[in-house]
Amino acid sequence: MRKQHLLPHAWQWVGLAALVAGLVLSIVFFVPSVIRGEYGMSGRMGGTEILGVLSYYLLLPLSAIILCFSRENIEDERIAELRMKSLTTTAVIFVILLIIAPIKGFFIGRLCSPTFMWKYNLLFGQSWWMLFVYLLIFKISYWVQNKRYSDEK
Amino acid sequence: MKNNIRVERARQRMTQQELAERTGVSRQTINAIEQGKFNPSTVLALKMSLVFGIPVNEIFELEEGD
Repeated sequence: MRKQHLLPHAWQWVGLAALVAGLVLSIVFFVPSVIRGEYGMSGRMGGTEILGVLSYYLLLPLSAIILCFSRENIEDERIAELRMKSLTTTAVIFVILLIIAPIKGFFIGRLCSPTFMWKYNLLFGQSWWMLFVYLLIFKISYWVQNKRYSDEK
Repeated sequence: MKNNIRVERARQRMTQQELAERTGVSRQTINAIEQGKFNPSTVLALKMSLVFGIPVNEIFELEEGD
């Protein structure tokens, strides 16, 4: 069988811990300063601001990478196919978002203020969000399939 | 693709879990293959053939339209 270059299953716990820590620290130290429009305005960054930036731009993507690339309990060819399908769906979503980005920017730019666009891009304009989209699609399909095929007939 | 895994398992009094363990996949994967929802790779098909002790073409057969 083809060799899969994935992290051991136990790494999912590391990824989960990093995700929880990243989310909590981002919500506490990063998101409020962005929403208030204070992020990056003071010129010099304080300790909490650095912590917020690191948790949002480093810890969250890192946790997504670990979760995406760690093995499931039994990683067989059905799961490999599921990973491939989830990846394809994510790629399609990503391409659609790339195509509509200028159109979206044009219309939203006229409807919303530049400050809103700046905040929106700081929070959601990051390409690593696609890792979470992949993760969501994969985990939901994994759960649905395992539930569907769990009854022995 | 049709398969006779369930029949072969019953003949050899083997559970899905036992077959899964002997072929290195999950029980859900065996179930999905039995239901015809997932086509196994050649390697997995050959492993099943070894476990059952019969040729692959006696376990799997092509259907019209395959």
